[in-house]
Amino acid sequence: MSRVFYPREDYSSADTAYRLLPFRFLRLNGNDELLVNEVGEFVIAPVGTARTIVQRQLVRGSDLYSTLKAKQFIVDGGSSPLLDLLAAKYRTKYSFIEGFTKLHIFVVTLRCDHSCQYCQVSRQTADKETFDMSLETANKSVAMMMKSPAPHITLELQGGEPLLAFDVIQHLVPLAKKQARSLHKELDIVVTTNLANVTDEMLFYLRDEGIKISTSLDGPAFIHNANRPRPGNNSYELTIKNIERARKIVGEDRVAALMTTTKLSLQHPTEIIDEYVKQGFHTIFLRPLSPYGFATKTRHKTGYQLDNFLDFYKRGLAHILQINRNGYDLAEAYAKILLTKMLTPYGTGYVDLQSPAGAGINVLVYNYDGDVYATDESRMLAEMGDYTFRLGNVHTETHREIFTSDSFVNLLSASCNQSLPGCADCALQPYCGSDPIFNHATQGDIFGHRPTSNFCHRNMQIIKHLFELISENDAETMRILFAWIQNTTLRELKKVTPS
Amino acid sequence: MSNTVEGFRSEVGSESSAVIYLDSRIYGKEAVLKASYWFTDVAYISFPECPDHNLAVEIKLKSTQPSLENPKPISIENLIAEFCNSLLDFELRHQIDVETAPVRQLILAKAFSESGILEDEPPGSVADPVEVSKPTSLVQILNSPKI
Repeated sequence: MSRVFYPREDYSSADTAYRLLPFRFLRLNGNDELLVNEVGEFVIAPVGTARTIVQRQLVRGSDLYSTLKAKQFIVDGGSSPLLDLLAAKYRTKYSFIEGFTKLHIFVVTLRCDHSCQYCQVSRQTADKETFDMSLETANKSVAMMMKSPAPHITLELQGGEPLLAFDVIQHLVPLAKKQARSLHKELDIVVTTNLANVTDEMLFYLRDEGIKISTSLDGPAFIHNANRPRPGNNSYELTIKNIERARKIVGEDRVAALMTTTKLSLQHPTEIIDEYVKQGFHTIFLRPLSPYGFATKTRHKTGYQLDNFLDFYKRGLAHILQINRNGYDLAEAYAKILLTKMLTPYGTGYVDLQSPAGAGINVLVYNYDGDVYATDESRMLAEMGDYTFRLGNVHTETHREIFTSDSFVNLLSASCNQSLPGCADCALQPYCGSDPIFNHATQGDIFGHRPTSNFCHRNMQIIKHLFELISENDAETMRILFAWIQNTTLRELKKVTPS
Repeated sequence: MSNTVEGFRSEVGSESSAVIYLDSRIYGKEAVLKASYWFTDVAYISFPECPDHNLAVEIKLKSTQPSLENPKPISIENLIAEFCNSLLDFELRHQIDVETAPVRQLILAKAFSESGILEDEPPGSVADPVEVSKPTSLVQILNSPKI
């Protein structure tokens, strides 16, 4: 691992023959400094190492010198022209941009039987005609989705509760499949559903069409039912029963669950995680609440909540690691995304933590009424009366007009953390992302203000926490983390890398 | 109260305000601005004119009294000390930026040259990252003030 206590001799006399390659640094804690190069490779070393490097105080042939040279922080006369290698690594890191928009979210209806406190968009008592996607809108939306140059696209069916508009789904699925086939595109389909109204007929359809299911499970009954009210207050019971039905019919590995952290959840990380284990899931995503619709205009109101979330996250992650040590494979999805960026040459397809931001570039949302938004959060803002990120409508704008709209061009200007104030110099920039829509929603400005940004604070704290875990260099912890990013089990990984 | 380290002198005016005077031969404007940015959550920062072409940073704390929203407000003395450390880091970052900017530009040009937007692979090397030997190169063109 990169945590090395370099000997005093490494710093003692000057050798000015080396040149610097681009890198950034920050202090991890009192004693350690994190050095990160342009492609996200890192070295954890004692505070002051960056200055030593810049002042040409490194000793040629020392361990530190060799490490920095091997990881392309410095280059000397003995180095072959390795810029092509750095360029290839850079290209690999940013390969998620290739193909442009890959995730296409279709809001097939706003109707829902739940009235969750964190949802801004559902219409519990709305009528079908007004809030379901019309077949004409569905046709136009599919046509626009197919304009995306991506060779592999994902269609996510969402709501409201999409299974309440099952007729729209049955129209969309064959249409999208037919057009994808004719354009030689690969197509994945996912339905995001609370499963409360699912029938066997629907499950057989999802199985036959190869559609994956993503459902919501916020924890044990007392949390889930409080977070996700519905008539009868039985959301948890319905969800658990129907997860089992779905697994039997559609397939064990075709059903995933997501949780949202509310104020109630913050007190119960272990109970929530244990519920996921109890229900046989092997991934949990400790997701913070989106700020949309909540009082986030002032820093300290949300800062209090954010610090509570960070405490929840760290306690949760420790519990998850212990569960893995005890023999049950359970990955935390956000850590997995970050660790993939930190410990592998690859980026990730996770649209909420990318630079350029995923909005529009990697995800597009087609609302029930044909409006096109850059992200699901943009749609939520629109439901609150803020149409800043409405890019157009499938009935009136073309694909080209959507992506040359003032809204999109404006969004793009704040999409790269490589050039945002505060981010450009940050050592964590290669692992982080930018979120102009979050900035707009919480700070009234797409560029945002990093010193008071919850996005910045949350990601900095979590990434630093992961680096501190890595710097402890515990063999079992490292095996668990590598099992997550390699999508394998701890048992399988131990076969390959025995202790 | 006054505090002096090399090229750095501070004068505390009250429990919520201070002025830091910086030797512009040691500290660049860019590093000062970037360091200041990270303190704009707790302080109002301005840059009054300095007659001797040095740099002055005027700091006014937004709050000095504990409140529910901010139970542990930073003191002006601690802020000055933190500012000093942060400034040193940003000065170092600026040095790295200046020294490596041409190489970074070349890495990016090479990285995306296979995307099809460039006709030729940028041929630069570590020894000549700005391709001085080749005035019509991509790096030279990108650096042209006409763009």
